[in-house]
Amino acid sequence: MNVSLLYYALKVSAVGGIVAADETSYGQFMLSRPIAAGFLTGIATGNLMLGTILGAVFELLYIDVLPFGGSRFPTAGFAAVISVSICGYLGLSNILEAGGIIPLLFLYSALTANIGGRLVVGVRRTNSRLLKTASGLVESGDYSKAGLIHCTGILVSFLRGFVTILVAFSLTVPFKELLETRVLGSGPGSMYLLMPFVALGLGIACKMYVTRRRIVHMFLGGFITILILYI
Amino acid sequence: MYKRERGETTGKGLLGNKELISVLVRSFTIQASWNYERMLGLGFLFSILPGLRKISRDDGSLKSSAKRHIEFFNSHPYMASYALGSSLRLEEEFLRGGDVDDEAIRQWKKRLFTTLGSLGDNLIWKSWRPACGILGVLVSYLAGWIGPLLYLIIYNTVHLYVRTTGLFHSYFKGRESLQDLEKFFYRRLPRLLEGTICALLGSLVVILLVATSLSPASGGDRGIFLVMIVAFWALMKHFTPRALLYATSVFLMFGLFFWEIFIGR
Repeated sequence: MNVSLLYYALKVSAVGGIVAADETSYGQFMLSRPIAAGFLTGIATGNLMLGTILGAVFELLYIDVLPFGGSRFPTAGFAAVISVSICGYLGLSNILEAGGIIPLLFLYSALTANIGGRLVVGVRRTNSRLLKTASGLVESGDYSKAGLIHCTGILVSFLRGFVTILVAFSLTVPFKELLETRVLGSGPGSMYLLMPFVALGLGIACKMYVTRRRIVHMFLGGFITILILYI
Repeated sequence: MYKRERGETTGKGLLGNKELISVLVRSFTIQASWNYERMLGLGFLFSILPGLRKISRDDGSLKSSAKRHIEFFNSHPYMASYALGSSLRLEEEFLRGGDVDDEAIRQWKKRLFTTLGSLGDNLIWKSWRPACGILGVLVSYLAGWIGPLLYLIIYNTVHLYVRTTGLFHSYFKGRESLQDLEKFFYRRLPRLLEGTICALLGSLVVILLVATSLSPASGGDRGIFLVMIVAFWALMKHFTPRALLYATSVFLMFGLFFWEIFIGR
């Protein structure tokens, strides 16, 4: 790994860390949603358009993920971070340039998101250990240290994202040349490979929200948009 | 309005803006140490501590309050601010010898967290976030990076509103704050948002069909795209979204592989 590649890997891993911390520990400003995570990775890698479009596709694919209570769910933001990172690493500025690697890219991103979600369990178990220490400190009246231990949870979450993205990205580095040969370049071929994922995202969203009663709203929205576009 | 021996008062309680803002800022970390044993327990104590420090008479009363608030607590992270504010008000009443005791505060929190959890899940996770998400996606396809930015601004406006009003309102109103939850914002808005999400989805389908760089080029392709949406929608009855995502990726990889072997690149 040369210095610029290491710098690139650290940058995208830091974005992964921010995404993970936002998802489960600090703020929940929704920087962890793919649309924002893709955007942030786009800023970090200098591929704003690529980040925005990939983030938007993943936002639809993971729109059904609802973080209820203690449920375990995929870290959707990781999918956007890793896909934008890989495309940026291959020198692509538009997802339609990705060509033949599009299915592999989506599969790898979904797996990364899934692994990220599984690691949340580890973070929660670490937090249980932190709780025991903090409870002892509260008993002895040392609230400042107990608070500090509570905030350590943010660092643990950040590390979950940082390490997951660093490992996921590093695993792709040796395959750069192979991936580059799979990139067909811009053209209709790429669009046909991307189209099913966009359609799947819309299918997921429709399944989640469009009921028989609400289908009228959907048609109404579509109709108004057609009117706006053509008038 | 009442006064304590120390003599500090605000208009409606012992805590001033300084302490309440400190509680608000800390409440952003309420989930930092989320765990299976007490869930938000430690986070709740960490958030409420600046208020408790101010209203407690001595170390003993602070310690008993702290022990009360490190116990099991689970709620929606934004809506927890309602519990924080009203618990502070109850603690105040308890310490000045009102009709509140230790058990009453515990019971109040228990009663509150289930209500707040379900309201927050319904309003924020299930309605507001997807509505903003679909709007963000729509704008992203039309105007690029403005989409995610708009998403973050619109989403967080309501997010910050819920956190801030939740804390301040429930602190000033105490146990009456639950009445606020009955209002339009928590009861009718989710239903209104469901309709909005569907309208936005209809709009997004049209935009993706005709108006973006990713839109299919010919009429036939547009037809295929629509058929795919309906097919995936129907398949969702039998498969999970993730299973379909993996299956689509693998299917396309194999499809591409065989295409290259038999038809050529």
